[in-house]
Amino acid sequence: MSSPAIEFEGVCKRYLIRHQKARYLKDRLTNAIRRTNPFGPRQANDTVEDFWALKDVSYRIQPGESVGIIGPNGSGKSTTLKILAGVTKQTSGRVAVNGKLGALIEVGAGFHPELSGRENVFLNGSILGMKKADIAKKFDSIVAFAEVEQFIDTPVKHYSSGMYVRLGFAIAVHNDPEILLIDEVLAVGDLSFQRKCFDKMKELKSSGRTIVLISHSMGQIESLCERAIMLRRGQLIADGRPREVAQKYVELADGRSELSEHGGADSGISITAVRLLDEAGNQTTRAELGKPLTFDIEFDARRPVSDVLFGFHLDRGQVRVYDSDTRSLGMNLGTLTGRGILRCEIPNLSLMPNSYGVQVVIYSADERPLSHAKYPHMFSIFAPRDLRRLGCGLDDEPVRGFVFGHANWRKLVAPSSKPEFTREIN
Amino acid sequence: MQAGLLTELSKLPEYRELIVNFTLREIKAKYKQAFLGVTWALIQPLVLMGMLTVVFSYFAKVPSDGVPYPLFLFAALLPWQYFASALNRATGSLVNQAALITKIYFPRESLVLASLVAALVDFAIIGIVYVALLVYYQFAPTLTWLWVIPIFLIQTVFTLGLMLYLAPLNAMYRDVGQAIPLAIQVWMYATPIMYPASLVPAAIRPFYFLNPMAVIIESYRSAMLRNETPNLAFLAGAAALALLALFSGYHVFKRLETRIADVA
Repeated sequence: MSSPAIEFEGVCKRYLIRHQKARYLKDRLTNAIRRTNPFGPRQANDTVEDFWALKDVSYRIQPGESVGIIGPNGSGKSTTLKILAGVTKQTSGRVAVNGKLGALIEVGAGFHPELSGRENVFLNGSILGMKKADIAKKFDSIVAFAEVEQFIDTPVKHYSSGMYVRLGFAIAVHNDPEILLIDEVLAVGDLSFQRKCFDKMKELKSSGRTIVLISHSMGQIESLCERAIMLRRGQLIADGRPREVAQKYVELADGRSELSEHGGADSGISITAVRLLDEAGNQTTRAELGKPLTFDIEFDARRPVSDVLFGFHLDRGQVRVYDSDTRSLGMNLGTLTGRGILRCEIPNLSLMPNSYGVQVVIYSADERPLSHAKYPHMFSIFAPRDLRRLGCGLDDEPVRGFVFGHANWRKLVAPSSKPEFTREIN
Repeated sequence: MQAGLLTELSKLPEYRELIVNFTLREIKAKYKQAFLGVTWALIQPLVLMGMLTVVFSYFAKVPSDGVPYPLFLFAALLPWQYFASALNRATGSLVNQAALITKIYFPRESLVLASLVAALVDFAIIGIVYVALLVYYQFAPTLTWLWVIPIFLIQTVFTLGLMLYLAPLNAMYRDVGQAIPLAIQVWMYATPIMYPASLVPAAIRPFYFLNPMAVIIESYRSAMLRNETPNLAFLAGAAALALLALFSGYHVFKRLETRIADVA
């Protein structure tokens, strides 16, 4: 493969941001006075600032690669997508895209709500550059793939969001793209459709197509891509195998959390920090598969609060993989006052290697949320070297499933003439 | 850049299906949930015609070049509505599709061309009413009617030129969208539609005909109602302006095109 499918060379993108400060009456008056001075500055409230969405980003993607581009909000992912799709141009640097591009754009961006599914297939197809005859030929296959046969003559405004995405995805993959751009839409849609999309992408990949998935969910990228590129504040900071990049992502995301208060100041209690601890009791972002997990939840009760309960979840992407709370364990926390720490130890949770998020919620006795802390990427689980021998797949295969458990398989002789599939699980 | 327009025009057949689909979307979506459907394309101009006939012919006794006022009015109002509706549609064509434009690349001019085609479809529908009027008044076409073809082409070129300016400019400055309906109204009064051009004082007539739409509308009336050859000097001037508008409009459109996604 001599010429890469996608090439970014020193790509920069600058946006001009116009700040318009809130105009209060006071500002208006001072401005009015300033304006009477012909030499005074004009429009003193408006400032223009440069914002570099991409700063000197270079990489090459070879035909047939499946690459995930990851980064937190504002890292330059969407700008990358726009440049690749040809929607906007880089400010400097060189971008080369070799091959027919198919973009799976935001949920139904090309759909007109008043038109039927059928009309939208033709409209969207032609926006993607397909010929009418070509769309007509693939129409049945598109509709079958999207599983919307019954609703194909219904205006799409009556579609569920899942149906929207399915139809959008079906059209995009039927355009026979050489390079498929996907913008984290797979989070929508049910699991069986995600499975179908995954299989379709594998099929495209094995026939030599290039796939670029843009996402802020490491889980999605790990399950679909063999390579991940991580952006942060417009710069490329990691490029490699998804698991290695995931580790880096978690390290950088550490300490970045979304803390939100419910019920305002009168809630009385708030979560100030949540930490994962290693065996020595120091904060960490990594844990070995199968080892106990210990979390410290720091809270601050500004006034004494009684009978609250703490809920604790682990998430991977959008999916909750573990849930625990103090009440269902029959634990009474009594009255909490001032600053304190609640420790949560989980001795035997075998999560698959991946990155995980943590959420902690404090509820009042009547289950009103009082404080909520969300760490979208708090830690990652890594596997010991000999995991392969435990039957957990090869290193370069995306991790599937959420929990690790070890299975013994044996072939048995059927005991009677009635065929029966027998299995034994440890 | 000017050569660019010609190469783009030669690529037009490639976008044909996209333009057709955008047009269909605009037309279908507009009338889909309306009980009267496409009939609305007839109702609006008919009501306007009735109203203007009552006010200008019955109340104000405006002269109408010796033909029945509805016929006189429609010969001008019809092409004017085509012009006005094309400009209005073009102004919103890119802005209303911001969701699409910021996500995916397709030839942007297809949205502007689809606005033009949608305006043409409305024009064709109401054209049927004009034919009915001609039959009703037993008004037979003559050879001078052939002038309608070049006049119509000049008008379309001029309209498209302005559309190419308005669509991206409105994406950058929404003031355009506010100003256009007002400007179209002012322009309508500066064009001989409800009154004959002969009412314009001779002293200001040279300035009056600097307005290419005044030339175009008056030419339609000469050809269709008075069986005269239009004023060819004026018409040539309008044609030159129309070409200038198209080339410069295309130039502006291409220059602003890549910035639209960043500001829309």
